[in-house]
Amino acid sequence: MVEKKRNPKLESFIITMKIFLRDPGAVFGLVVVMIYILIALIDEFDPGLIGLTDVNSLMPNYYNPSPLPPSSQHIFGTTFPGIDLFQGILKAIRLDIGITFFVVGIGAISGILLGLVSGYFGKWIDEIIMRTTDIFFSIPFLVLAIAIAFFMGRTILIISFALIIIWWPTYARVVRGQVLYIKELAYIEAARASATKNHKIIFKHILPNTLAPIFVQFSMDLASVALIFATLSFLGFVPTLGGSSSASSGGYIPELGYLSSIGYSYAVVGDWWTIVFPGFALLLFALSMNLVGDGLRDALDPRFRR
Amino acid sequence: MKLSTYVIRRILILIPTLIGLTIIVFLLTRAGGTNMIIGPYLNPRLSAQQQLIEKQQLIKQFHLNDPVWVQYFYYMWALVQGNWGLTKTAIYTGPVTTAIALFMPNTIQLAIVAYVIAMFIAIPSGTASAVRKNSFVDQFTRFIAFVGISLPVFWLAQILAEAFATPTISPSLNIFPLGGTVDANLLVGQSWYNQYLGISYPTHIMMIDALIHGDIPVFISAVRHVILPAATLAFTSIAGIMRYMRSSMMETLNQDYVRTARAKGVPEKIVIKKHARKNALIPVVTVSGLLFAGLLGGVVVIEEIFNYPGMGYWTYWAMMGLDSGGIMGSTIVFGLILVSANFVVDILYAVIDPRIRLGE
Amino acid sequence: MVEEELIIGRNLKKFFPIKTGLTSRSNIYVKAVNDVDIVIKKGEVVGLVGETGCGKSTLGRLLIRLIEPSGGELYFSPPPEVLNKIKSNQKLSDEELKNYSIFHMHKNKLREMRKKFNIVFQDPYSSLDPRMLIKDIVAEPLFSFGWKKKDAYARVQELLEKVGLPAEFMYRFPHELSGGQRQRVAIARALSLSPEFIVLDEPTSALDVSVQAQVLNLLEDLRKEFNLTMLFITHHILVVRHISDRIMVMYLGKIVESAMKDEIFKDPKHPYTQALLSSVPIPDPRVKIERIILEGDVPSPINPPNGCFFHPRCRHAFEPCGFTTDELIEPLRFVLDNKRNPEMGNAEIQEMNVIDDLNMEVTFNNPVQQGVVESIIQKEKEQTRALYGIKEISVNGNLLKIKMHEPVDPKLKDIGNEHLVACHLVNPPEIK
Ligand SMILES: Nc1ncnc2c1ncn2[C@@H]1O[C@H](COP(=O)(O)OP(=O)(O)OP(=O)(O)O)[C@@H](O)[C@H]1O
Ligand code: SF4
Ligand SMILES: [Mg+2]
Repeated sequence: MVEKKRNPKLESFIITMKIFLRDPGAVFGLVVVMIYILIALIDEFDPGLIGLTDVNSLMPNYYNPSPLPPSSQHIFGTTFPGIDLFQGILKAIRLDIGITFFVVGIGAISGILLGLVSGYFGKWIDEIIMRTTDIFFSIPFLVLAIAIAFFMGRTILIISFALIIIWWPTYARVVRGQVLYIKELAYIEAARASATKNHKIIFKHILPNTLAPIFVQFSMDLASVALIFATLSFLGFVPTLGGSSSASSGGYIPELGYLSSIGYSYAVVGDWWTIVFPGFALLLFALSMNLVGDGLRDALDPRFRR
Repeated sequence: MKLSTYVIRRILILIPTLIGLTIIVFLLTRAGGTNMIIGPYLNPRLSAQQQLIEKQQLIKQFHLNDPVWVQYFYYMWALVQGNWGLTKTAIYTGPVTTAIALFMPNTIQLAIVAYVIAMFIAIPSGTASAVRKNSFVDQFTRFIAFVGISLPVFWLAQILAEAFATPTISPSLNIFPLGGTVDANLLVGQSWYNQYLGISYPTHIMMIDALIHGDIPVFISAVRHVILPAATLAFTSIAGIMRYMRSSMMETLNQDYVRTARAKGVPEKIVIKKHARKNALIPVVTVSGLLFAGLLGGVVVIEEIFNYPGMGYWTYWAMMGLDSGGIMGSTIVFGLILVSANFVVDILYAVIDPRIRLGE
Repeated sequence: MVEEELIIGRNLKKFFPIKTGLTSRSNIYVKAVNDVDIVIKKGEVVGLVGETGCGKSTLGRLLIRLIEPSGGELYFSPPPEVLNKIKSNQKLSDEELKNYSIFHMHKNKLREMRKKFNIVFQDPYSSLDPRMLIKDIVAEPLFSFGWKKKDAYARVQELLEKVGLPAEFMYRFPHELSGGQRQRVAIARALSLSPEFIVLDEPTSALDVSVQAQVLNLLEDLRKEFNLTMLFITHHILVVRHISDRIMVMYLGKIVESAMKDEIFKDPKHPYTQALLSSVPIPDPRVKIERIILEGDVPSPINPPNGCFFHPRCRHAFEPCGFTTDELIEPLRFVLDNKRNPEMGNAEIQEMNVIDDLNMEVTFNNPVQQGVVESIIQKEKEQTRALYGIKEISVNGNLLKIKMHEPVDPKLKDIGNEHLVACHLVNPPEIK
């Protein structure tokens, strides 16, 4: 009889994991990303656990506003006005990670769908979708994000929207390229000969076979979006939370790029820690995400199988 | 497909892209609301009553009560005529087109220097890691490449500014001045420099003009001013170019003529220098141009941090001053640069590799 | 065997557009299948043979409408009254077309029809989705028609047994199987809905020789067991020698000969078939065929030759076969040379001027004589067959005017015993 004990899908997953775990960089990246995600989740659900109060504000201390160097009390020091950098960074991770995952997630889903449609049906649908991606690729990402946020407003939703607008075309193109290749393979023809319906062909045969490059793209984009989001804040597009802008409420929004920009005027007069720590926190996340992406590229590459 | 057909096809694709670009920018300006469009034109010294009247006039002048698509045609018409509106920022007030003429040369200078720096670092290291695959050099460049794409640009700029331009932190390293494109004192009384506009002649690009007039101190000063922002900009693209050079080089090293040269006993150094590298370079040089144009958006951050008066600096101040004219103008300019780079790269690529033409 | 038509194709055409210009529309086509009539009878195994690129796969895909046709009609097991109409070339009503022509059917009806035919591809590596388990691959047609999981997997198990694979293969991925095993899986999939007709597109050519024989034997067994009708595509005629009842030979998008297997091997009529057969070792001492080597390349299916597509390579080509003036340029230079044929005297060709496909002019530096040219042509004809295409010449001083024979397209014609040939030798047209 059929041996049911064997679970080939699990086995294949284990092989992927084994290849992934052989790459020390990827493992390092994965651990760091996990820690970041954990911090973000704690911030969201039980900030008291790591001694934080009010994760929506950087908690200024106007009695002692000047930046203080790292000490046992403030291990990363403080930045203007009297904000504890360590706590600030812990809080900021929530917003940075949250927005990043949200943006890349929505961008990827819409891009994947459009790319599938574009590649599978071809003809004028393809032409329209691809010319649209051309248009979005015709403005440097940062400039387009600035223009969108500038004209449409600085709420967190608009800024996320701006980033999604920028990111979906990448997925649409990657997926389309994959679809064009897979579509010509005999198993798609075999599926059509077996009267398989279009939507089933797309979602059961084509999509799963495009996923490997999408995963890689996804992890690398988590890095890029985190960087651009922080850059926007650095430039002054500090997102407003719950309708209150940072300036008017006096609450400083916990965001890494913003923390870094506060520090700049102090860093140039010698208070190096005000920018080194927030920037490093961001660098570490982006680097880890990129390492994970690279590890995935190898682990998902069928050439590394048998 | 013949090359000429391909070029024509590519031009035909260019048209909807350009129209799309202007539509996006147009729609964004309209999304901002009436005040954003006419803001720069209002005279703040007028009384409230007079402002109201002026506002009505401006709304009429910009056809803001017409249907959107009619507005778009007026908008396009103005653009084509070179009437790009006004910009009102802390660093410059006047027509957008003049602002572009003022700031663009500085950004071009920055980009050229950055490109040279990037190539000087990326090509040899990419070659080295291709020739010695999986060696320490290869692993190291790989790591640097990862750091390169993971570094927040603003952070790198800040750190460089701190390290090389901050007397309190690093007095011995304080060799690069912050702000401007050149030490203005050196230019006092120079006939080829317009003090008022801050423009040099004839090319408007300071380093080149200094050389043309044989003014070495000015040239050196210009280099010292541009080096930090250029290094930052270069660093953002080094990773990509390096990895691309590596794969291109590896591909060439596997080609028949290179193997033949090796088999004939040509020394390895010459094989790499004479035969492989030249051919590996062609695609790298073309594609890195595109990569570079895409990353040019980074100048908004870089120029702001180093107070370098280019397009990015202007964009930043337009952003700070709620100056819609400046944002619109710079977005279109950055878009045009990228579109042209894309176009040129595609054509060059089709010339180099005829398979591309057939692929379409 | 019941002599009943299962598949009837009329004027089947498939032209692939080639993109050359700016617009997506194009007027240049690869004529992969060019006006083919085909009949396949119930229970029959038909071998389709031809050189690479001649359109075999395209025809196979067309027969189960995996690709959209450019023209023609295709019927699958039509009822007797419709069959009669088709046979007697009567026009069918729109209603009948909608109901019985595979090319005119509504897509829901076509979907239903897909139960009745399927296909096995050449490459067993790309024809199985690498991310699906074997059980889901084989069950795919079943799921398309709403089978329950339990029933479907039971059927899969049964099918795997039939194709000689152990049941535990259900839980494997394609990459865990060998080429031959994969091809068995593909066959099981094609058979899962008990179709009446399957197209086998070179099912063995990607396999090792030893495995090839096993798969062929399997197909033979299955064919008997299920009373299958099959179209077996191959570029190697020996592969189908055993399994097929009838063999069709294809050249440049057309079927040039079709006959029962023994007949084809014993008495091939078409020069192309003769050439094909002469190139394979036939293990039958009674059959003696001299080796014929096909000269020249296969012409492009974009611009097939005039008349008989085979004429540029045919050893027997003659007047009506479709020679055109541009095919005459080289031969004329060769034979009207006064070094080769001294009768030409001191006349040398100065200029050749092609007016159209059928008319040309040759200018000499000195006057020539009509009789001399005529006799040279007559003498050289056997060796340089393009000269057969010349209908008449007229000489006027230095000028030689040449008129060619009108090309005639050879049509498939039954010469008895269900042997169809498309060649003027067998069925000479009237030469005007
Ligand atoms: N999708 C397509 N688009 C354009 N041309 C095609 C397409 N499919 C096939 N062709 C062309 O049609 C012609 C016939 O191809 P087909 O695959 O039917 O040949 P074949 O006889 O099966 O050859 P082989 O023995 O190599 O499989 C070839 O010239 C081929 O290039
Ligand atoms: S019709 Fe017959 S004789 Fe004439 S070219 Fe064709 S195959 Fe040869
Ligand atoms: Mg084929």
